[in-house]
Amino acid sequence: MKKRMTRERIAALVLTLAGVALAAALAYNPRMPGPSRMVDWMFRPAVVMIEQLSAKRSG
Amino acid sequence: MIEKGKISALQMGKMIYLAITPTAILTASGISFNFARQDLWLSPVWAFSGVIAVPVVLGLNRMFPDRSVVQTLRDTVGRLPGWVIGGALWLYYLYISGIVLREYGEFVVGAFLSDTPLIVVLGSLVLVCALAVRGGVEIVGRFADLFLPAFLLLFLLIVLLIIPDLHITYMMPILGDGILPSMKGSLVLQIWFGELSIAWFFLPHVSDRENAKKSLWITFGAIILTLVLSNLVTLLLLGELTGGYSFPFLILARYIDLAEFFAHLEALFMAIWVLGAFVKICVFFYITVIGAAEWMNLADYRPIVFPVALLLTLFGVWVAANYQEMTHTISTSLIPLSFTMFIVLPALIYAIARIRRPGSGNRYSSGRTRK
Repeated sequence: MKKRMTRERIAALVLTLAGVALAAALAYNPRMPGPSRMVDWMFRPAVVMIEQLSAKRSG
Repeated sequence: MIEKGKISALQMGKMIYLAITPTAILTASGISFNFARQDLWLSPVWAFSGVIAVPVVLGLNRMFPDRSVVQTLRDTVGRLPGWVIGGALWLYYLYISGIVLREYGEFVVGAFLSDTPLIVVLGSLVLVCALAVRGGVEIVGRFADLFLPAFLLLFLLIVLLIIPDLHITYMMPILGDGILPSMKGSLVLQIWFGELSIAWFFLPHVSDRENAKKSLWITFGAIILTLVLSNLVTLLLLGELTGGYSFPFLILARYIDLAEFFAHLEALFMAIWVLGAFVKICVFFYITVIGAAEWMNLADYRPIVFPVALLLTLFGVWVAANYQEMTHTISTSLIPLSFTMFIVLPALIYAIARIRRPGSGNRYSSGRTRK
């Protein structure tokens, strides 16, 4: 039981530290590229295709 | 499973309805219009993602009735691949929760609280949601119970009051360019319909499992109907201007002026939106927290609620540089990503489970409830 609680405390600490690190990084550089840029890059071919569909339609 | 709470099938349906419609009403019509034009109102009918998502999650729940999502992944594809997919799924839910939160923040800051910093708007809602999520699935379910009637009442009130100002000619010619434009308009809506697969997380907690199938299909139909109605009234009021607004339905509420007495009803829309967004963010936040706790093999999810709340608030800020960038992401790259995570992944898991355990697909189809 005690071991389980330790595990949860460690998880909470790691997540908090990740949050603090992200907050510090965003405070230092508010223009830091976000996850959406990565998603755009991952699905680049699909993005181009969808953009073409939209452009054709809106003329 | 970490979560011990139980909800009814009806509560699950209400939670899912409120987890999909608020943002769909708010932003989807403006994005869909660029593809569908005057056939915008027809786009929600092509809800292919929902047609796949509902049977897949029901099938998965039939095969693994009392197993959580992460446990199902481990059982199906093995320990290490299950851990990797579970991690990816958690990160995806954190990201999509960030997008939902940012949509809420942009709307509140852009339309009402223009001097309030975005982080304050996001942080305050996440804090309230964190308190609800700590209460567990039952509390989130009761919030859905409580807010759904108010949400529907206010939504229908706005629709009714705008009727005198609608121009039926704005929807003509119906299917003028065939069926394809309305189908293209439904492309972005597949993100929202794919969100029906979040039922995968809630089905193991449903006490009257025999009603779950009916509840999910009714919810699916109600979502389609709501979106057809909201797209229709938006189109009939704004016509060609629909695509030019970030939040077309807000313009609708602002436009209402009945006998110079019922005017400036955007406060009503704000009420709808805050109630709806609260439940929506609670649902996605809950899934993110429970996903993280199961992924890390924790015995209790409550200790990580506030740390995840911090991460979620920051993701809300970090997810895109501005509203335009976020709308671009929603209307382009989020479509294939959501399709992969909401539809392809559960469908693949279901297919693998069926191949590995043939004949087990109908184990609980007779409506047997596991306690």
